[in-house]
Amino acid sequence: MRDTEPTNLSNTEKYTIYDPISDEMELNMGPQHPSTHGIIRLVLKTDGEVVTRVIPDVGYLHRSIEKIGELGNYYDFMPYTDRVDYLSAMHANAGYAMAVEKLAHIQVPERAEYLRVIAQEFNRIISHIIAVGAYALDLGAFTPFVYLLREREKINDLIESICGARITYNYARVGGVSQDLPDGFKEKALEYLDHFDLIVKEYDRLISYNKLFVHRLANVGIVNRETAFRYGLVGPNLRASGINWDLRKDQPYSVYPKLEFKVAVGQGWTGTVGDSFDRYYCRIIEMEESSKIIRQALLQMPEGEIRAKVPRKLKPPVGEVISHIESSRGDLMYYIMSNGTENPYRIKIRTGSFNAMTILEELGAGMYIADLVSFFASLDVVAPEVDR
Amino acid sequence: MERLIEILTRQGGLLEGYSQELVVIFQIIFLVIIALIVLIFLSLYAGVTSVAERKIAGRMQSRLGPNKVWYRGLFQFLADGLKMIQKEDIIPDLVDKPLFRIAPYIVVTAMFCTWVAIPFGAKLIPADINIGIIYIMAVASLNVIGIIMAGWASNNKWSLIGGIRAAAQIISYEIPSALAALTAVILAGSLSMQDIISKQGAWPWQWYITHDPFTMISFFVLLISLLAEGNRTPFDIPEAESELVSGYNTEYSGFRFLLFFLAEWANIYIISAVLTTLFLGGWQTPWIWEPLIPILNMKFELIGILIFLTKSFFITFIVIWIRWTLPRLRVDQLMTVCWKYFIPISFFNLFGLLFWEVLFPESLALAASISITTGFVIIFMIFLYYVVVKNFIQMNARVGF
Amino acid sequence: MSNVHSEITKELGSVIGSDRVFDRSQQLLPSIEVHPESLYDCIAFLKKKPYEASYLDSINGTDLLSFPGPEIHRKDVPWSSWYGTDEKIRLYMLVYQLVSLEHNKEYIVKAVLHGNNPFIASIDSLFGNANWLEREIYDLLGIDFLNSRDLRRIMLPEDWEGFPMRKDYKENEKYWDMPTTRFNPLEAMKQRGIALKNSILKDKED
Repeated sequence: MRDTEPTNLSNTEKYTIYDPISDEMELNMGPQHPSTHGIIRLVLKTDGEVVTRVIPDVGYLHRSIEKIGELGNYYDFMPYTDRVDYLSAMHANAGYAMAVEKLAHIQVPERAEYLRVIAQEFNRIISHIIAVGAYALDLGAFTPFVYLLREREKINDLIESICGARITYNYARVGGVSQDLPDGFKEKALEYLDHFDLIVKEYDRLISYNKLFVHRLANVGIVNRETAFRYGLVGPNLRASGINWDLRKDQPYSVYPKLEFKVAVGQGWTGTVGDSFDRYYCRIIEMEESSKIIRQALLQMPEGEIRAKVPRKLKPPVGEVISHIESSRGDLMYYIMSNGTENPYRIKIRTGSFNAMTILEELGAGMYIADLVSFFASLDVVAPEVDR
Repeated sequence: MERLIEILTRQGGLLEGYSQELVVIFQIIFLVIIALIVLIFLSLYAGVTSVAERKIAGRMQSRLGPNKVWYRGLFQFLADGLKMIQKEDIIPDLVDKPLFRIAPYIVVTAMFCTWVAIPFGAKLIPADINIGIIYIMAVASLNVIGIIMAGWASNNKWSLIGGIRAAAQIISYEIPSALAALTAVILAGSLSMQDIISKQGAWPWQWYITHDPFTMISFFVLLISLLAEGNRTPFDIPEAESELVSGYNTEYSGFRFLLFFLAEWANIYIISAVLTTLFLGGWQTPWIWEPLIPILNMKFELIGILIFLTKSFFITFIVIWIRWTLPRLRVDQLMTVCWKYFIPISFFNLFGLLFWEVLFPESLALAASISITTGFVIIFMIFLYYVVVKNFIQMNARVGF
Repeated sequence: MSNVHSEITKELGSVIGSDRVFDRSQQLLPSIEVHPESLYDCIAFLKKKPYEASYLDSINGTDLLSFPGPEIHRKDVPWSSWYGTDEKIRLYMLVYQLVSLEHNKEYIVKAVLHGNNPFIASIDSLFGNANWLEREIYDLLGIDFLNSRDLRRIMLPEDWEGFPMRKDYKENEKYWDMPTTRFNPLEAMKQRGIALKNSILKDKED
């Protein structure tokens, strides 16, 4: 629908060949999405309802966080890690703290580890709440999203009593955490978890057994084992394809060896292993498991310090370090390179959503537009993670 | 209406002795007044339905709906209507201007034309057309033209997709709805709406829904097909889709946008009214219906109107309930449901009904109706227990938050 | 973990040539280092048995322009024999991370590139997500990946000039009539010579 032939085609547009005679329609699932995934642009070439090619165009949220990290010192970077993935900010905080502690050989007290685990598992619950709720919202079921947000409000109140913020927590510090639990938190949290276990079953019944929902999700975007490996999927996306790989069990860090929980592996509940329903249902199971972990952590937590003594100006030795942490979207990897001074030399964050976006180009072709929306929502991509 | 003219022109009436042309003019003026009354009722009803929908949706989502306007937010539609009327009429530059302007009006006109054949009471029907139900189905499907116009004229690929999908959907679902309506027509022996109602009785076992199991299936087929005609969830692919950004509605703002939604909410009433007429007994009132009450005996009319509106509102509630519970169907699933499932089911329904009518004589009809009614009530009670009562008990057992 | 990398170095040395592989398994981050020309063969080697790398975790790129320290002293590092010991050669480092699920190990392969227009072979054909990772490194560091199926900028607009993650990057004043830096009132005051009174930053300035 252009009046004249465009003269300044960008590279993306050059790769989408402009052919006015062809039957293909070029649609922009533009930067402004009516869903909550953030600002990602997908250029779709469609033949009627069937998508023939998906060309993702990211970079609208590129804030050059990695370059900013080189300006301040190691402690200054912590609030920036919140904004890498605003839905699982605790994981990002803890991952960065772990990386710096590995680099500078700092030992974290055990109470701080338990506090980090509690905060992270709460964060996993609310991140999956948004993932599942926004998925239902994309498919047109307005009500489950509102119910889930009600639960998120209550967890946000709990988290606010710990660290003072509701979204960008900035809770973990290098060497521990910033604040201790307030009085009465344990009772409130346990009471809430009793309520939450029942609620998760209710949502499960509301959505997962609904025939319409199942038909929209089943056999859509089937990712088999080889494809999952080839595109480096991590997190629930990888587990839904039948691969039993959870960093908390296989490369344990922090106090996870002392906590008992199951790993949610996709079993093809609606026919095929690795379809969208598996990815969605793995998240529901993970929510239930997180609540178990929080209970155990609250009961096992010892008294003690919450932060190790760290020098005022941290100058770690020259070297590099890699730390992996299992965030709600997968494996969040921090690569920090230090040159012996106060400022980091290079910080690189590799997020789970980045790898998940790479699979769109291959699997998106041949789907209906509605299926593409469902598939994209099942990958649980959060835009700031992709662009940083 | 003919009776009114006859009464007024015979001996002693008001228009006695006037010439033929003046009588015709009087008829036209009277028709315009009736049309205005129906239009006002339509707008009010659409507004009330919109508030009802928002409040019910709010309660289902464990929040209050709008509660700021006047008394507990029940007059929100006045606020919305007044706001929309005084908004700037934005017409984007590259749209097809004549079509863009006309499209909402065509949709509203098509929908309004169906209101003239919907009965409100025993004698209250703007026009008792003798092909009532076919007329309603035919005119209601003219809104496809408006939707395609809106989709095309918006110069927006997403709107175009929305318009085309709407066309496919509405045209496909005409067939099962016509076939399902045909079952009630066969039982009544006439296409006129008032005739169909007067053949039913006042009690539930005298309605057509419990006449035999085939009409009960027809009721549900018709309910779902009319939902698809009205672009309601789970069939609201053309409009409020999260991938289509509101489909054919995208480029509209202000008063034209309001007209589209007015058409949608008024369409809900058509769904309810058609279902009530065909299957639920319409305005039949128990104990006090006498078929020979003259036109101006208003007391019985009012009770009939109330009963009709109550039954319609019950179905409206079901339509709203479905919207806020279920997700959306994909386009090909929608087409599969229509062509592969509903059309065969409707055909078999029709044949089943014919066989039932031939095989079971009248004396067994009452027994069949009563048994089907009681079976229906028992299933309903079981449903109520498992779905509603058990949830209540579970809710109260939970930790109160 | 460090044993694995020593083993890999030995076996890889026998495949590619032992002067192209360097064992760095004794550092804080154990890894092996290869000559960039043999990187593709190295990664293909790691995909096969007995190492069976399952997926590519990440590719990180760094500009080693201002990296001092004994680590990179030009005398005892492999690339002194590859590129010479001239202090002014521009160096870039790429770190490839591969994860093997069967053996529960992570293999880290480093490659150091040199020059003002560095290039290296792309591992697109081995792993599907390498494309986006390489595009990001091309976008931010300017390293050219040969035989890549689709190499273009990913984060920045396509007509951006320059590579931001380089240490000597200076952005243009304007991008399509939009200024690239924001008005900084402190700088403006300094330029006009207005002294700062009662400011927290006063101590820092002195």
